[in-house]
Amino acid sequence: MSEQAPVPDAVPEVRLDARIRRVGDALIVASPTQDALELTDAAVLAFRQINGAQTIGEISAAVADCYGVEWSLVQADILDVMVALMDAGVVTLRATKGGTSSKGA
Amino acid sequence: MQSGLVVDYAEVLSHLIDNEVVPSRCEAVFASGSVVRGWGNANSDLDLYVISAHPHEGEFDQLLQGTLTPSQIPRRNTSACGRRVDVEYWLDDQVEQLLGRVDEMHLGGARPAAESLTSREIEFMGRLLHARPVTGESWLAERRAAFMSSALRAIMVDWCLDLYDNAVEDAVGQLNASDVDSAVLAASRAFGCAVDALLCHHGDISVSRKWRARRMRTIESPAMSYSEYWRLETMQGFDPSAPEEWVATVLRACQRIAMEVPVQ
Repeated sequence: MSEQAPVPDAVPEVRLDARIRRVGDALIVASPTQDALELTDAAVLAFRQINGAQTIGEISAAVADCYGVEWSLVQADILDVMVALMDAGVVTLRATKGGTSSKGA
Repeated sequence: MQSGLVVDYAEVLSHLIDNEVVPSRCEAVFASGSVVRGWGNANSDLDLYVISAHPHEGEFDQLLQGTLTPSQIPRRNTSACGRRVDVEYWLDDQVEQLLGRVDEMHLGGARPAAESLTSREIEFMGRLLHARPVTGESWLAERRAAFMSSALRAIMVDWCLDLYDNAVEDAVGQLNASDVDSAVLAASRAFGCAVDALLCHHGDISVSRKWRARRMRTIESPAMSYSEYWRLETMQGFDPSAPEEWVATVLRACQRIAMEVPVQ
């Protein structure tokens, strides 16, 4: 389980040592020490949006925009994706955009 | 006298046949390398490859070691029409073996596949893809098509990304150990491997850094523009007081390449 819980205003960042492979339209991601995770569809879109600057809320909005739906419809799924990526050791939450730590949530 | 990029291949071939450098009967002769790709200069050698059914019996200057049977490739350094010419003598059967090895090895994984070939053998396959026929046009066309449809590109992409992962692991480990200088070098190595993977994906097979910039100019990729490539290759923006920031920038650029270059 991840130590930090992703919240909409948290800013995710891909670990520098994350291993990434594109297989067809899917992405396989892994930390050097844990099992790989296969990302498809919306998860790939979300992963590609992670740049260490955008919040999870902003990433959700970008993914929702790609699907032409309200962000509120995808945010729960994107939060689940972030939890999976953090549990896989691929993504860390650097901080919330306002500077408040999301630790312990 | 020929100079620069202008080569009269018929004249060169005639000269080399007259001087018994190239046999009058062979499967094919092709030119490749910087001169053929338009990157040559007045000092560039012309690289010629002679493909024969029978072993070379004439003079040679070096025997290049390989992994095929026979394991040696004769090479001769000569000149023709005022230009230095390097000639390698390959057997058609050795080329056939390379093709077979590439497909056979794909099943065993990219790393053992690529590492069981010498860099010269890899370069040969890459050069064949960008060759200009001098004689034996149909031989070259058939072989080029065979390599293009083989697992060569997939093997090379996998292998380069594998090397990239190793270099990233080094860089991050060194950063964590506050060995920042080593991390900078490892990040630079990771960058080279990622760019090589991108180039191999675009069909430009090579493990040499020599023409990487020229090669990057020939492709268009959403993963990395030429200007970004050049900025990172030449370490523009590197701040000696904060080298870890440059390492992070480079490794994130590499991640974008890994996201765009498909494997398998």
